[in-house]
Amino acid sequence: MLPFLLRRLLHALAVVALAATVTFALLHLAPGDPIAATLERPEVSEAVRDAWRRQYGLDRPVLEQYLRWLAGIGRGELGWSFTQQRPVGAVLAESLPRTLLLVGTALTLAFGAGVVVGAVAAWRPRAWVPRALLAAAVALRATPEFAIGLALVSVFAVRLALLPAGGVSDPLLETLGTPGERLADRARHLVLPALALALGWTAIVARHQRAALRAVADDDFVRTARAKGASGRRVLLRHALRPALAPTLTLLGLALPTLAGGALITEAVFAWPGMGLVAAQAVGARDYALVTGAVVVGSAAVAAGSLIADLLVALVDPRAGRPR
Amino acid sequence: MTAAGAVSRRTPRAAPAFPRRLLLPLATLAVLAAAAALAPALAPHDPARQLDLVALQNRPPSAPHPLGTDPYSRDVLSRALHAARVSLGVGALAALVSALVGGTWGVLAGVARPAVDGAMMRLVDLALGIPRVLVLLVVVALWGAVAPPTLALLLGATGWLGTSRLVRAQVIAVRERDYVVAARALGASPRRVLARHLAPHALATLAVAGTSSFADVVALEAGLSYLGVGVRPPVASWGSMIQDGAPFLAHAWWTAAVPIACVVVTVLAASALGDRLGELLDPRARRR
Repeated sequence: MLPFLLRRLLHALAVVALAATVTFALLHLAPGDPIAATLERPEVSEAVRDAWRRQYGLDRPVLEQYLRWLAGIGRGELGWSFTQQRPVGAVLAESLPRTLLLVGTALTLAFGAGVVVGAVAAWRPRAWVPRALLAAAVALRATPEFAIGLALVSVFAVRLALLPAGGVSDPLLETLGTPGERLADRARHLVLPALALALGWTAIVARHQRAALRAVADDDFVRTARAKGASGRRVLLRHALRPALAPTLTLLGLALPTLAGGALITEAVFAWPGMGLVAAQAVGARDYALVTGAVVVGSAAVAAGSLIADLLVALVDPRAGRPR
Repeated sequence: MTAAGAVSRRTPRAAPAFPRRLLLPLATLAVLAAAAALAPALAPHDPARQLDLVALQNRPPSAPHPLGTDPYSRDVLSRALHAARVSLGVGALAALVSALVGGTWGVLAGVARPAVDGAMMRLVDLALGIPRVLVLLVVVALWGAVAPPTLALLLGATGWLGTSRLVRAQVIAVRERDYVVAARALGASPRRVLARHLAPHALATLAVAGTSSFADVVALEAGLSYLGVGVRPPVASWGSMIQDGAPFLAHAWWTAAVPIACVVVTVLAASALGDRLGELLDPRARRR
């Protein structure tokens, strides 16, 4: 178990190091350097620019700059966001938890609903409800998350006016409401964006869960359980479900980078001020430090998520952690 | 008797009929491609022309404008047809690039020494952990607006990782088969074994991977253009049409719904084609 954990932890660290390396390479391949932006200002003399380059270490060999960059990330120094006039770390420390809340809620919903739908579909292949749900799942899987979000907004926020169309909270309640009201208000703001992500992801989980359950349905231990007279429900819940969870969790862990990408785009639909919205705004303003910081921190968050998925797999299926 | 029976049973397999399961997705994609190719002839209006900013803004579907008009009084049907050229073109070019890069990487890893193969695939595993959207955001931040062909190259350059894994697995599965060993024993050079015996097998895998990466790219391009970092005005793609229509969902839902429907139909058809091709080529599925 411990070597397995250690290996996965090293993998997660290597992902972050690679993300840092790729962003460094892109920064250096791009035309100009951070100081070149001042070329449009005639009052800045070439001598001043050289002094700035020396000050920021831009005159050092590339290898040294690269190692300094890695060391800075290791210390948690991600640079200065000139659009927000504060450290990139502070900006991301504010937006990352919002993204995590959104993605975490959506993943929990999707996993719970997907496992149930998949299990019913595998156990009662002729029942029409799971069949209809799986058919709908095919269409949902083909629809980008942000498009599902737009559809939800137009129905539930615009036409029915049941739920807020965007933001994390109501500014009025945020200052004047009681703690209970504020919590309820935040939950109401979370419903539509979380649903937009969860609908498509549920479809993915349900498909994999059904396939995984079918794969174990013919296994000896399931047949034994049936042969000794256990009821269908008991066989499903006590014997078949647990080993079938592991492949679904593994696939979800592998899909996490893609799912996170979809979530970042969906934030724009709901004006949800998480990493995606912040990064997209930084792209518009060409705030390099903020965008590169978002890549490093985003990759780290995804790597941590994959690590958690691996841990859950090992928890569900102890064979996963055993040395091969 | 048994021999004759075996032969007669094998005969239909030698000339397989066109698999009917592929018909619907292929036909759907063909219609979309034809609509894109013939867009200038089919479109009733100039896609970029603001027909009448006062009288024709956000009009619902009608006879002269079968899919309505958008917030700038442009004809939605004409725009969707012309945007199909951009969206499908970007998708196809990106799928081609990722098939080329991923195929090359996968075949090389499949025939390389174990140490080299291990290093190549470890790099792919690590890169798969970085969210693609974020890398694309950095590139756009650094280089500014990108033209559609450049966007396609970028999407292809960031989308080949999964393809390379599939191709490598296929090459490794085929590498030790009897006929490859026989070819080697007959003195075929490594290059000939690669070109004549290994690469053709990888092509089938590439077709499957290419179709599903096409589906991914069409959806991703729509997302990036919706964010405003993909295809930008005056060029229109389905994604940028969604961006134009999104603020007017309340009273002109068709301006966003039409391009969304185009994206969904394309992704559905391409991923169904990819899934079914994969099932056809998978020997385990063929046995049934």
